[in-house]
Amino acid sequence: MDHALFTQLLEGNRDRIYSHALYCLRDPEDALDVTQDAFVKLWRNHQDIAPGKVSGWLTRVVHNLCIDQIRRRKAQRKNFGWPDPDALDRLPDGGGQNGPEDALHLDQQQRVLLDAMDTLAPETRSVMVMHYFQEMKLQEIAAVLGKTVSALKVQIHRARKTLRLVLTTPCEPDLDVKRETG
Amino acid sequence: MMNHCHDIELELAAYAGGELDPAQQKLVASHLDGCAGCRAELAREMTLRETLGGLPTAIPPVDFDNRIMAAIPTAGTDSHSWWRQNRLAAGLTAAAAVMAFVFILGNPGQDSGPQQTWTDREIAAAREEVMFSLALTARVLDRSQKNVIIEVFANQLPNSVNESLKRIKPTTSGGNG
Repeated sequence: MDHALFTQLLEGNRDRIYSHALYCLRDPEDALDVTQDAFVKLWRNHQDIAPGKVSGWLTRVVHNLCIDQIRRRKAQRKNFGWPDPDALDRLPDGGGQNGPEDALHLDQQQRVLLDAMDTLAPETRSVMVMHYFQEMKLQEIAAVLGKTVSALKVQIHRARKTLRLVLTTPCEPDLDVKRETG
Repeated sequence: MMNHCHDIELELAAYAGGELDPAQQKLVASHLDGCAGCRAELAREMTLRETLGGLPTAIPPVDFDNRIMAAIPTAGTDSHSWWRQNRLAAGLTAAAAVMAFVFILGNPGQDSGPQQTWTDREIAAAREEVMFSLALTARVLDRSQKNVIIEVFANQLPNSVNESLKRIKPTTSGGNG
């Protein structure tokens, strides 16, 4: 692969891959590291990737890298699946520091939902980002991850149930608001 | 089929995304008409879709491309060039180690006891050992770097070896045997 082609693939996929990593990991530095790792892997493995499959291949790689990173983080912090108390500080638009997160303007519902998604298993969180943020069809996700569409339907259904439970347990039924009003 | 609420709920993501075939789409819609619970679940599905779908695309820092380009090899034009370069470096290091060994062998320390001399036969044997080691190292390296390997191992290093041997040979002039 020459640098011109690689640069083209980088420009065409960089923001999408970085966004995926950021919304899975919710840490700009970790997201940059994972994105870099994904593209270095692309450089090293391009001969095994069909020309039209680069996008899906990158998605699978960043998915796996995010899972690994979240597991490492959990192991380090001994956070057994409950929301990380520091998660809010890591939100992309929090802190007002210089960095890529400053450009994001998340509304309250987005922040609450991303917080709630921290309770999901790493793989499920990544699948949710693929389906709802990247707007990938279930068929596409199934092809990328080598899973069945049925398995993804179950995974998303369970995630929706978990999110509802997490969001309604204390007092704030955010996801039910629109049901009642709209 | 999809008669129970659980079955319907499983299909809601696909339903909301328009991924069901027309018959399934109609079946789910029909169930939703008469089931408030599943309509509520669909509302939550739509909220998820709107909330996460409305997240902005994040843009990495402007120098991020440079960071990535710095992380990939700059020489060579294929993905294995980094590995090849390192293998070549490893080979050259090994060869240099052999060279250093021969040089030390031929130039025992001036202040480390009586100077030891070597016979021409020993030197020839050592030379053969060195050349064998170099050839072996060359074979380990990726053959696609053939030109580099030929230049380094067939020309430069043998010449260096010969030069080293010439330098130590005078010390053996009296020990031919």
